[in-house]
Amino acid sequence: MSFGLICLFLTFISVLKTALMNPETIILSNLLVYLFGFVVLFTVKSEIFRSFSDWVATGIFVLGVIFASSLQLSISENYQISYTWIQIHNTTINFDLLLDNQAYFMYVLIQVIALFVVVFSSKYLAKDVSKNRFYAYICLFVPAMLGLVISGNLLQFYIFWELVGFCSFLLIGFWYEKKSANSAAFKSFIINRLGDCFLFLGICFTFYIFKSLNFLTIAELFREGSAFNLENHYLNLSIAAVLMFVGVMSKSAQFPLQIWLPKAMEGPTPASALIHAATMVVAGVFLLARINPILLIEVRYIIAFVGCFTAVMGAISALFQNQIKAALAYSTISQLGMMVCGMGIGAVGAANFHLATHAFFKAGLFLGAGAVIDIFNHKQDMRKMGGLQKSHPVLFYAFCICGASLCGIPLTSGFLSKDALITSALAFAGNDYFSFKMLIPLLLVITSFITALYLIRIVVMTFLERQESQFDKIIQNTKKTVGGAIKSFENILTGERQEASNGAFVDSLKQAGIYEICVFCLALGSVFFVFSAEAFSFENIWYIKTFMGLNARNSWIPWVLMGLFVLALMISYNTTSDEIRNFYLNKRISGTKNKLILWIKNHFYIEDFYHRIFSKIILKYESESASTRSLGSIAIKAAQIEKNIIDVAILKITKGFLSIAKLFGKADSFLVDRSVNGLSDTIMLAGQKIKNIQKNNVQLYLYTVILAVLFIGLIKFLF
Amino acid sequence: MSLSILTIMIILPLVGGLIILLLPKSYKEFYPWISMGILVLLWYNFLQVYRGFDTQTAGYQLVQHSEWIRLSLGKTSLFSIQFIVGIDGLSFVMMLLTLIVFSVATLSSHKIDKKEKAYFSLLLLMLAAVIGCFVAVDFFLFFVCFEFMLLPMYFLIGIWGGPNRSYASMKFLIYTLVGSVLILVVMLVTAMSYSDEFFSNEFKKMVFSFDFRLLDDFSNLRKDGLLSIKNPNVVLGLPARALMFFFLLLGFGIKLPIVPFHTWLPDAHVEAPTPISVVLAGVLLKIGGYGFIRIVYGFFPDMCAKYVHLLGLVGLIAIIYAGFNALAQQDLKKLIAYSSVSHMGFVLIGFAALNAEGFNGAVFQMFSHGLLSTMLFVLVGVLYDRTKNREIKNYKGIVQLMPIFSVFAGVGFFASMGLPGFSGFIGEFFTLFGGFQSGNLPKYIPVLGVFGILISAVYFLWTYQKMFFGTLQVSTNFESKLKDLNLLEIVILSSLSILAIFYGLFPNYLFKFLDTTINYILK
Repeated sequence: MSFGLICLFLTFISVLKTALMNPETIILSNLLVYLFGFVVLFTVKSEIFRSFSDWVATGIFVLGVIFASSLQLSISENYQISYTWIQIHNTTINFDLLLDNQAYFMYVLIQVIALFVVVFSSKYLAKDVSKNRFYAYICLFVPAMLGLVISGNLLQFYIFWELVGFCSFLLIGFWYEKKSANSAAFKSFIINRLGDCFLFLGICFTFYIFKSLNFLTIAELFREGSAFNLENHYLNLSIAAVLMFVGVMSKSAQFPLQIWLPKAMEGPTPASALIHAATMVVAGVFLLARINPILLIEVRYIIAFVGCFTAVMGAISALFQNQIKAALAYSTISQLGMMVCGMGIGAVGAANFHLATHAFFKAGLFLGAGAVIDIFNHKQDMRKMGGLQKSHPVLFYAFCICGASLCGIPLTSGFLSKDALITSALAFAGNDYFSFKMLIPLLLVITSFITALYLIRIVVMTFLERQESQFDKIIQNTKKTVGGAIKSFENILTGERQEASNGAFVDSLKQAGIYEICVFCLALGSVFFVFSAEAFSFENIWYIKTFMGLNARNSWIPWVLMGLFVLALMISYNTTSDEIRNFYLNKRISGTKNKLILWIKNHFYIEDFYHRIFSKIILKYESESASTRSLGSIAIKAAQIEKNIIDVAILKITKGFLSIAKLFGKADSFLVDRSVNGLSDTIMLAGQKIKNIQKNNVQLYLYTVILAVLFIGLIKFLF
Repeated sequence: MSLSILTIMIILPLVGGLIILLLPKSYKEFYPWISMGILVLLWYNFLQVYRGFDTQTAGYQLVQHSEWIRLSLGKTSLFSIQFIVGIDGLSFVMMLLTLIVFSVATLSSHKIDKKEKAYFSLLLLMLAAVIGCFVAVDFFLFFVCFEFMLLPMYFLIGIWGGPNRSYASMKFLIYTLVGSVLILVVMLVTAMSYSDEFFSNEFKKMVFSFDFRLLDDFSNLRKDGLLSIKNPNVVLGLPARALMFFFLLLGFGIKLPIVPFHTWLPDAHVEAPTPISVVLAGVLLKIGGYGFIRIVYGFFPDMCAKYVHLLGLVGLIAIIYAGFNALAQQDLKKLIAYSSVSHMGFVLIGFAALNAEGFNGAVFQMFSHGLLSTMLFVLVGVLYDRTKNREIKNYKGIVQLMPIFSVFAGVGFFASMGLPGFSGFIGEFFTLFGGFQSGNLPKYIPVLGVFGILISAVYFLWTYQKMFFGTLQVSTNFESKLKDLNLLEIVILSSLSILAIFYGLFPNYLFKFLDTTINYILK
């Protein structure tokens, strides 16, 4: 039957190849299928549809994988195609499709992982009434992410960058009735938006320098150096790169913007596996790969150090988590730090490779964690877990393989990629063992060591014996089971075929459900042969050609990593000192150590710091007092200015006009009216007086005549 | 004399208004239908305009030119006021927006339940005035239409508004009248500073014309005129050109509105009924921006270049300040009003860029804001119609009662905060991008302006989560009233969403109309 399916699959691919000749048609139809799926799954609400929506969703994603495979078969080398999207005067913004090796690989990888995630969700969310909405969101996310990896220019990249952030918001807040989910979604969206602002500025700066946004054009211009004056633009270029890196910090959870990622675990676990572990969070790393050619050396130092610092920080915090998803989230931060560091030192191939391997094993770990959480009735606390090894052996082994890959054990893909990364870092540091550059490989090695520690802790706490009984017994059990763990690791490492021939294992495989199949498939993707035929050398990875001419065979890195892993196992095996016991079981810690551990566990209180600032100056998000919005100081100030200054000023001006009008009114009644009235009164009075003249008074006439004659005579006399 | 299609488009709403005025009250259920009929005719005419429109031509097209008033000033000079209508890329886009917004406003006017006759005839009168504003090529005609917009608006808020309507409508009237007076002064001064060579020779008199095509050209400036460039006359301590520039800036700025002359807007919005808010935010604010490009930049490009920093700064302040004010609002409609002010700040930054990207972005932002604010006000109207309450705190978790409404509200909110894929993103992107590439504008203005999109994300997201998410928590008498959308509301909201997505994905369908015109204006 499986043979028949494979035949069907291949026929499909060949049909697609012939029917859709050019890759852009394939990509377009691929994306449209998802969007169509989104619309259908989001809008159709009928009960009948709900009963088979699992199949619809799975079908969409299978179709996606088929599209992706046919695409890969039909293209050979770097493929770029442009359409004019916006044309303003001299500025043309294209829609560029850029398909190179890393884009191809991501294009396939995203859809493969999405397929497993969807299949996994069909069981994980089986009882959830809003299951269709979940599928719809994933259907929206996948095309956005695909668009991001095939973007050929910065603006297009930015568009999809924001869209994946939006999808992430939707999925974190998937259970919108939960207050904590809303709060987490809000935080992640705002922090991502902050990063977006910086990325936007970086894009503007880049255009200002190069007058182009196309990745290849920019790289070309930079290489030539003649089209623009590097001397003049040195500072601008550094600023542009740093601004874009701040965007990367927010999306790829780098210090100091990493705090949203652990919060993002409020979303459904399959979504965390797809978005907050395997795909979306690596968008920043991907951007760094794209802009790598234009990074100046100072910027490279900043990126590399931020990366390895985050790697160590995340790993340390992961050690003390009790929630299984939180531990994995901090682990993701740490691994992302390693990738960013790799991009910083210019090891694009190695970092990209780690990105790919990480996508598989981290998705596997998250889905495994999801299965565990489901088994324990959606409780996430690892202290209350344990003993799954016996009841779910397939899950256990699959989880262990993924974990081994995370730790970088030989024969896994993680071994190859970590080896590549650390070897590149060493090459970057050069031969001077006392230069500050040496810190980079050193921090990466330390991270790898802590990674092994926390991963073993997770495995022990989750899969091995229960730890709720008396303390000593726990230690005994732990010792025993860790021994068992080593054995099982060895078994896995020496060859799965032996295990497969084991009768019990085959039985359990037969009973295995959807969970086991999904995690197991991803675990298979975490083994070396997916990426290279050689188990111990990263030089022949089939899809990455550039490793800066490193020679893996002469490197001592793998031996150091192996040694550290053995050391980590020894520590957990011989947990003799109280400190290490406490450190592992996180109980009965007191005094100052408690504070220290709390400090690490809460990720150095970075989040509280932001939270305090944000609620102080902008908005108190958490406040539930429904009566008033609780605002921060700036918003209050703005509202006060509006109310007390601008509105009052306008009112005053209006009142001023009114009083002037009143004044005029008064002036009108007092002055104008009075003067008019006064004039008329005067005339009346004069009339009264003058009318006496007409009263036939002869003496008066005579007086008047004499006075007049005298007056005239006087005037004559004088002149 | 045959009427051009643009003249017909001005006259049609007037005729419709007259018909409504003459119909007896007993036919009042036909009033909305008549208005809709007029709009259908306008859409038909607009389609004709679209067919005849050439995107490669820079100047005005479909021009109708006729003498209107000839006013003799003594023996030496003469005012020649003409009736000129024409359309270019900028007016085309604005006309498109006008028709969309008025269609929505008319469709959502069926809730009006008093003095329907007056309402619909005033609405149509305003429509005629708005169209007149956008197609006028003569400053005098523009000004007349500009004034004719104010009075219907005053009555529409003052009669059909909310409880505090008389205060709001008076505030609106006073503010905008101050603006009009300033514009009037500039109009007269400008007209008298230019002279029309051709007509002057014909009439043997100095002919002062209000034709935009004349006033846009420096070569027509009289040497001894008040606004002459070489010989600046000082009035009130400022060169006359600068003073007139500021008058115009203030006149159109009040309309746009710019901070700190924006306080009429929240009050007017809160009191106005839904369709009037839609018109106010969707179209009337845009006349400020239109006037800026057409008149302020058209007449005073030198002053614009000189005071570019001031312009940009005012825009930046509007973005940040109004953004924080929006955050502080408890009334949903007021929040949206402040967000409008904030979005208009982007328009100002785009203007201040004084380059093709900035201007195109500014016009796009106006268009996009026209669509999105229309959508947001319709959304608020939906809620207000049902409960007569707009306080954000009174709603919690209503996605469970009104799922379809919540989806549309999500589209509106996220589109307004500039999510890519919606038209809002393109506008914000190009205004800031233009500002950044501009040689004149200091970089800090677009740099800080970018954080406006962060603030808008905070207030929109916070409001959305508070109102729609969480456990359902509304008072019991609301619960029965909060019914999901009816068919008409779905039609309105979905067509607006589709438009916002369409122009977000294919912005070139708007830019191709604008580009030639903007380049011509910027020449």
